[in-house]
Order: sequence, then structure tokens, then C-alpha cells
Amino acid sequence: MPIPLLEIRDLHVAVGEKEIIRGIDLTIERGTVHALMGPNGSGKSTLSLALMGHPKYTVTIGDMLFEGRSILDMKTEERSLAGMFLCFQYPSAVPGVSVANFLRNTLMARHKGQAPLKPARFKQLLEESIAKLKMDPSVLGRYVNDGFSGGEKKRLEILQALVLQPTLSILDETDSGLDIDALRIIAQGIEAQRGPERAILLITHYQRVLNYVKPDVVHVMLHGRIVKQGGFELAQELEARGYDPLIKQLVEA
Amino acid sequence: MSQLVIDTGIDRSLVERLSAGEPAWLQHARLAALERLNAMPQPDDRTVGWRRTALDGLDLSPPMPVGPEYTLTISDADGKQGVRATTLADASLSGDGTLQAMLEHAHIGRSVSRYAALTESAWQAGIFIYIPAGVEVSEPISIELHEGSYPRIALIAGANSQATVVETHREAARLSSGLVDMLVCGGASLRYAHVQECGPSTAVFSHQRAVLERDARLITLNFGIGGRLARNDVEVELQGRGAESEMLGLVFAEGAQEFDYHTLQGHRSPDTRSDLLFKNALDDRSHSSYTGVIVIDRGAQRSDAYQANRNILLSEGARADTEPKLEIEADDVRCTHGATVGPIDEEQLFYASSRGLAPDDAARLIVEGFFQEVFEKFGDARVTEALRGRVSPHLGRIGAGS
Amino acid sequence: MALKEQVLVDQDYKYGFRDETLNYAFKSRKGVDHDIVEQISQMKGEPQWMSDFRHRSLDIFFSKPMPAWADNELLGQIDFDDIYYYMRASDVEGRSWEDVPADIKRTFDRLGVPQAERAFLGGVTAQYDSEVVYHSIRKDLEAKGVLFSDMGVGLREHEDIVRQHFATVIPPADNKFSALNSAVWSGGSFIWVPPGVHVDIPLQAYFRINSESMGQFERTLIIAEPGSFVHYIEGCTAPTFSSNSLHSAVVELIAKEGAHIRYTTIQNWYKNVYNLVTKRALAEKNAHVEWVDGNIGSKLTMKYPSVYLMGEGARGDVLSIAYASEGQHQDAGSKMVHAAPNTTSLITSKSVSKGGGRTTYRGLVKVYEGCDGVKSNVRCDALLMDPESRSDTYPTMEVDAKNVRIEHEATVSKVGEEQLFYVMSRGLSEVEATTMIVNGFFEPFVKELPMEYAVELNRLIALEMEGSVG
Repeated sequence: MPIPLLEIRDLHVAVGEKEIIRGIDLTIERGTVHALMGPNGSGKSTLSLALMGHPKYTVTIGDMLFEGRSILDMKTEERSLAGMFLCFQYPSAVPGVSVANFLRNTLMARHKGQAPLKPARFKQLLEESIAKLKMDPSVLGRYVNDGFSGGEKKRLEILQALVLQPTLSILDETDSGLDIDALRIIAQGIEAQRGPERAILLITHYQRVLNYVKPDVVHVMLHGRIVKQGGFELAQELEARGYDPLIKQLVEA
Repeated sequence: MSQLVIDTGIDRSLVERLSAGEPAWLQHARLAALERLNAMPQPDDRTVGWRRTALDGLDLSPPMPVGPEYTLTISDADGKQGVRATTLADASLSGDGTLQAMLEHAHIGRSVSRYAALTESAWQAGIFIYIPAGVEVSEPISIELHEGSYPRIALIAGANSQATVVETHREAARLSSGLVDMLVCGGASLRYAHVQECGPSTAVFSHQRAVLERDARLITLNFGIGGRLARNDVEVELQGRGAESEMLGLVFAEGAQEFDYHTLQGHRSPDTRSDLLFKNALDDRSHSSYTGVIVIDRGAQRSDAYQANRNILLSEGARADTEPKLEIEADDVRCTHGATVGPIDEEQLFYASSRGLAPDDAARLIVEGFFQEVFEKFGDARVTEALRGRVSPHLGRIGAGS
Repeated sequence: MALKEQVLVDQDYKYGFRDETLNYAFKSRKGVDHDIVEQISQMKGEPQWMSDFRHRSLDIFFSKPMPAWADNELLGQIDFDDIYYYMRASDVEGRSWEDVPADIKRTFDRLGVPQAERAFLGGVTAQYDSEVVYHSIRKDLEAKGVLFSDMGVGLREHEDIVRQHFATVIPPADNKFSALNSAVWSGGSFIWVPPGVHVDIPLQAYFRINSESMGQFERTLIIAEPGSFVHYIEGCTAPTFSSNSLHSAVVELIAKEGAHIRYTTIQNWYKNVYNLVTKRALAEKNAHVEWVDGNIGSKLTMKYPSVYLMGEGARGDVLSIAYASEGQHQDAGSKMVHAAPNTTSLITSKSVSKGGGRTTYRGLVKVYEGCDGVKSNVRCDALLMDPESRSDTYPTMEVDAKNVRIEHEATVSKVGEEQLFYVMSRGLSEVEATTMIVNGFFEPFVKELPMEYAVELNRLIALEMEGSVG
């Protein structure tokens, strides 16, 4: 067996005193797309932020391994440099820092000790990615997420993923709040992150994005645990019947 | 400094006479206040904070104590709940340590005002209002002052109590200097309105000091339409974690009226919140000066403070000064302030005119709207409806000149 | 300053110049009195009126108390008797680039300081007189009739212009430190721009001929005749060395009808320096004065660049940043005095406090009676980097006219945890992420600087954020 790209073992995560994630096991192999579904408040975003090492989220029990190595002691930026990437549900604004400057800096962080990308190649990469996402090139001069609409923020998150080319993309509700045209474009951006050596963890409340990005495995999360796993048909079932029958079934069990 | 003692007429023997029959601690507090008074010179137009206040023709020397004459209303139902009012002199004899602690240390505030010290040494009788723990007062408690040079009020809102208190000033003598001390105990919620409708030649001073314990909530409103000169110092100390303060001010000034308001939002504990909105509309040759400071102590993390002073100038001769200050020593805070001075917005005027309103009517309507936010934030319509009625005849005179 | 404290300061400031690298040929004795003032005046061979002016100013200095509202804990530490009020570093004239210490050259490298400026900062004056570039700039200025020289030279060669304007904007009695400067001033720039002349390149002190090295009590006077434009830049982001712990300059700007003056300062004094500067401009009808003012160094800075808007339609702008780390207090701000109708002012102030540093914004907007149509907007944003640091905001607005629009807004906040996490999640370390956020915060200031200064300032902030500049 090859070493999985991401392995989560009996993970418990707390915010302050409150335990939000209460024992999760999840393995993601290279070349796969996993969907993590669940109602609001089930702990999906907590998992994504804990994976990225947000200081407010404490891992109390369990482990997370990226490429076979525990990331618990790794700083946020080290996880990023190792190849993990989070598309934030609510990305922060960084006023005064242009998108181009921001991307140049994040790329430079990945080329420590080596020659960074040549300016021409960098420009080309940006232009291609911007075209792919049908963004206005003027976005490069705007300040990161400062005064961006919800849809613009989502696109900027995907743009960063296209430029940084992470091994593992974690997308936290990147599909929410988008109209159908925007969703199609974003989905293409997500599709572009597929690859034999790469993997995607797609966190979503709704099934509709999965029509564009077909997952190999669907996990359902409730009250901080993964309660069900299946294929694409599980997502379709949830879409048709909602989370209530599942919740009821679990309560009865 | 001995000259000043003669100058004020308030001397040690007078204070001792006023203090006859009071417990020793209270007499000490009066004498200490007298010492502070004597150490501070009579303000003139060169004194810091008074430089731009027109003091011509005003006699600000301390009068000999008279009064107070007042009407105090507590509903029968609330009386039955244990809400009580006595003179401060009587209350001080009851041996309640809370009152003693409150009155002994009250002056340790930020602004050491001459007139607060004066009142603290020369007050007579005083008013003490006590709201027992857990009591929800059903009707606003009302204190109407008709006469009195040094009215002093102490107010204790017991733990988890709820009350609205309205203090109305109608003094018409040359000078009145009031002092209010409030203690809002843990979880209590107090609304306090200071309504100033003094006579046109009165110089009226009011010093209000509040201490908020844990999770206490205080809403204050300083409503000013009277007096020749009004100087208010409103100091709120957020001592307990989670305490919240809303400070409101409303001034309509006309003729040669002078309003000089000073505020303090003191964040002394973490997770405290304060909001301040002082709105002034100034007509004729009136002048307003606002000086406010937000202080966030080291360690008062997650404090949230806001402060806004808005001034509308209704006449060519009206003047406004504003000095909103911040002193921040904790980093995990949210603190914003803003101040504006200007005439009525031209677009608003145009809009109202386009609906057929004459300029003065339009101005009246817009100023009413300007004040509306303050009334809404106070949140007790029983009080604000009456106040709206008090200010409205003044608004009717906009543009009339005087 | 006690020896121990001096050593600590020196260690903290690895890029600083060392005292022992300079040997002064002439040094007055310590302290100031009428004899010293007379000596200075004699050395310079000044006209009698200037000599009288100096003596009069000294009396004012003695009679004035320290400002009551200031940070008197720090101000009180100044020992006026322990300061050299005049020195001429004559050996500096003959110094060459090779003599500049290696560590300072390295600093220039890391900051990317332009060559000519390096020479100037290194005290190399002989060399750049022959530099072709600056020679042609000077030629160009001469052709346009622009006068640009050291203040002392200006007084000698254009006494009439100097006498007409000198101390008309800032009289000696303005404050204690303007009085001191008026008594012992030495050096600084004198600029006169003829009517209608547009000076395309920013003028910098190191373009001057016969330049006296930047002094402790320099005096600058800029006169822009009607319709002219000039941009003056003083200082730079590289450390400015002073052997003296007190720097007290006076800068007077006069923008005549329709003239436009921009004055850019980046102050990065050694962290043992008291930087007490009076800067004021007069703006006549339709004139425009801009102060672009950055304060990074010094122990205590007190500086409130002002514009007196004297003619209808005049405009005053102040764009400033302040950065205070451990042991520093940046007490900066601005005054806008609206003395004519339809004048406008805009103040944008941004400050960062770190490691127990303290920043203060102190400002005044005053509108005189009858000045309708005045617009003023003040915006202050303060960023606190840790719980030890402090930020104060003391704005004052005095409005005596009705048809005006006066607005003030200020916020104090910290670098957001979420913001930091977001940037770090893209692979930047905490220091890099913080640097990026602070640079972004200062961006509105930085983009007003000429490119080389902008780059330098960003690098300087990066060095500051590393916590050590070594």
C-alpha cells in the first residue's frame, strides 16, 4: 500500500473548553476527490481549520498525517509549504497588499534558496489562471479581499490554488453563495486541481457542486463525527431527502 | 491659597457646620473635598478647558448653600417592592458600608473638577435612592429639582435590579452645581436621564460618576436645553468584567448659551463595552464644546469602545469644538471614534424642500430626525416621549434669531 | 546619557554610526548662553540683524516653559547644559567612500539606498561635487532661476529674500524649541522657486553645493513664488546619525498664490535622539501644501506639520506614518488652520506600536469665523502589535463658521488573528506575514514616495519586524 496523502486518526478538536470534533478517522489517497458533507454546525469548517493549524483550534486527542508525517507540531506556514492548501469559507482582507504582490510573496516562500519564478513565467501563470476563472485582470492590482464581493473572494481563493498548485486542496464551502455560472467556473477551477499525485477534500453543505466535481468518496459529518460513507449516490440521496432522515435514523440507533 | 477660601465663602467652619450630626467619615470626605477645592483656582478664559467658553458677564463664584427643594416620585407599587428614597444625610447614618465606600472614593476619578469638589464639600441634605437586588422598578423614578445650589444624589442599583431614573433640573438661581454618584451592582441594568431645563441666566454644573460592576449595564442620557452655561462631566467606570455602558447626549442651544460637556469611558476590565453618542444642534450665537476620552487600561482585553460627537450648526454665529480622545493600552480591542461639525446637509434640505417644506420647517424636521437616534438608543419611550415634547418648542424657533 | 544606556542603545541599533568615527575640528563648549550664540554668529560672519535675532530668541528660549501637555517623562530627561550647540565637522569634507565603515555600507546594501545618498549619509561631500548627474541637475535648476543652497549660503548670497521671509511663518516665540533653534541654528536648506517654475525632480539635501552636513539645529526655508511647484525630500530610511541627543529643526514653507509645495520626510534618527521639530507652511490663495511625513526612528519625536490656509481656495494635506518600538514615543500629528473661505485640508495618519512603543496623534483643525465652504477630513488609524504597546489620539476641532464640513474618524486595532492565520496558511512565516500586513497598512503612505524610498521603507519595516536589524 502506498502511503496515503492524508490520514486522520481518531481526531478530537476543541475550541477553548468545548469539544467540536469528537473522533474522526479519514484517509485520503493520492488521485482521489473526497466530499465531506453535513449540516451547519456539524464541525466541517472546524476540521478544515484544524488541518491548517488555526491557533484557536486545539487537537486534544488523535493525529493528522500528511504524506505519512504527523503535522501536529508543524506551524501553519510549514503545512502550507508542505503542499496543503485551504480555500477559506471566510477569507480575510489584507488591505494595502495587492493580489499580485501577495501571490509573488507566497510563491517566493516556496522557492527559498532557489531562484524564484522568472517574472515572465509568473506573469504568464497569472494570466492563464485569471483567464481560466474569467476574472478581470485588474484584480491583480486590487488589495487582497479588500472590498471584494462574496463571489470575487471565492474566485481569488481558487486563483491562489491554481498558482500555488498544492498537493492537497481543502475547499471549505467554496461553492456556497454562487450563482450557477459562477459555480461552473469555480468547479472548473477545482477540477484543474485533480492529478494522479494530488487530492481534493471538498467540504460542502449542498450536493450541486458535486455534479461538476465528481467525488470518489462521500463522507457525512454530524455532531463532530463522520457517521456515514459512500459513493456519489450518497450525496444524491442527501440532496433528495435532506439530512433529517439520517439524523433520525442515528437517534433511533 | 487662603485668599481663595475667603473668595469662595465656603470655608472650614461652614463645612463643619453643614456636617454637624454626620458620621466622621463623611465629615472627612467633605473636608478633603474642601482642600481640593482650595487647591484649584477659579477658572477663567485662560484655564485649560475653558479657553473658548465665553465667560463674560457670568459670576461663577460659589454661592452660599441653599436648598435643595425637590419633588421625588416613586410609584406605590415600587415602594412596596422596597425601592426607597431618603436624604443622603440619613442614609449615611445607617452604617451601610456600601454607601460609605461609594462616597469616600467617588472623587478618585479622572477629572478633578472644581465644582465637583465644591458640591462635595458644601451639599446639604442630599438624596439617596436605593433599588434592592433583583427588583424590577415598574415606573421611572423621578426627581425634580426646583431650587438648590449644591444638589447631591447617590444612587445604588442592587444586583440584577432594573430601573429608570430621571433627574430634572429647573433651578433658576445664579449657580447650581450638582453631583450624582451611581453604583450599578452586578448584573443590574440602570437607565439614567439628566434633564437640564434651568433658567436662562443660570450657570449649571453637573458631575455624574458611575461605577459598573460585573455584567452591569448603564444607559445615561444628558439632555440639555436650559441654562446660560452648562458644564457636564459624565464619567463611567467599567470596573467589572462584561460591563456595558451607553452614553447619550442631546443639546439644543440658542441665544448665547454655552454647553461644555466632558465624558470618560473607562475600560478597567476585560470584555467591557461602551458606546457614546452626543448630538448637538446649535443655533444663534451658541457654543458647544465636547471633550471625551476613551481609556482602555492595560489588561482590559477585548474591550469594545465607540464614541461619536455630531454637531449641526444652524446659524452663522454658532460655534462648535470637539475633542474626542483615545488612550489605548491594550491591543486586543476595538476602538473607534468620530466627530463631525457642519450645517444641515444640503441634500436633505433640498429633498425636504422638493416636498414643499419651507426652509425653516425643513430644518426643524431634519433636526428632529437628528435627535431621534438618541431617543431611540435610550430605549424608554415613557421618558423620551416627554423629552421630545420639551425640545420641540425650541426647534420651532429655528431661524427666528434671538 | 549614562554610558551604560548609551551602550544599550548602540547595541540595539546595529546600523548606527559610531561616535568615534567623527572628529570635529571645531566644537563649541557644552551648554548654551549668549557667548555661545555670539560665537556661532561670528563664525558664520552673519549680518547684525541675524545676530540680534539669535540673541533675542535665546532669551525667549530661557523664558519659555516646557509644553505642559507633552510627554514630560521623556522630555524631562533632556539636559540642555550637556549638549554641543555648534560643531563643524571639517574633516568630513575630505572623506571618501572608502572611509565609510563596512557595516554601514552593508546596511545601505540591504536597504538599497541609492549611491549618491549613501555618499551623503556617509559624510562624503567631496565626491559628488564632481558627479555628472547631480551637476546636470544643478545646471538645470540654475537655468530655471531656482535658488537651492545651504541656509547659511542663502543668507550670505540672497540676504534680501531671506530677511523678507525668515521666521515669518514660525516666530521664535512659537514654542520653546523653535526659540532654541532660532538662537543656535546652523545648516538646513534654502530654496526659492521663481514664479511659474515647475521643478520636475524632487530636491534633496545631497544635491546642494557646499552642503554642511545635516545638523542638529537646521533651519529650512522654502519659498514658492506664484504658480510654481517644488518637491523637497529630506532624510531617508537609512539611519541618520547624530552625535547629539537633541535634534530641533525649524522648517518654514511659503506657498504663494497658486503655488504647490510637497515636503517629504522620512525620519529615522538613532533611537537615542530627541527629535523636536517645528514645521509650518503658509498657503496663499489657491496654493497647495503637502506634508508627507514618516517617523521611524528617534527616542521621542514631537512634530506636528501645519498648514495655515491664509488665502481662499488653499489646500493643505498631511499624510503621515509613525512606527514606535521599545523605548520610543512618536508624538506626531498636524495642525490645519483655516483662515480663509473655501479652504480644504486632509489629514491621514497611520501608526504602529510594537514592543511597548507608544504612538500619539495630536491634531488641531481650526476654522475661523466667516470661513464658509471649509472642508476638513481627518482620519487616524492605529495598529497595536502587542499588549505592551500604547496608542493615544488627541484631536481637537474648533469651528467658528457655519457652512463647513469637518470630519474626524479614528480607529485603534491590532493585527487580526484571522488575518495573520490567512496569510500564514499561504506559506508565510509569522514575521513575514506580520511584515506584509504592516506594509499593507502603510501602503497609502508608501505609494506617495519616490520608488527608491518606497522600496527602502518596505525593507526597513521588514528589518524592524524581524525584531533585530542585524
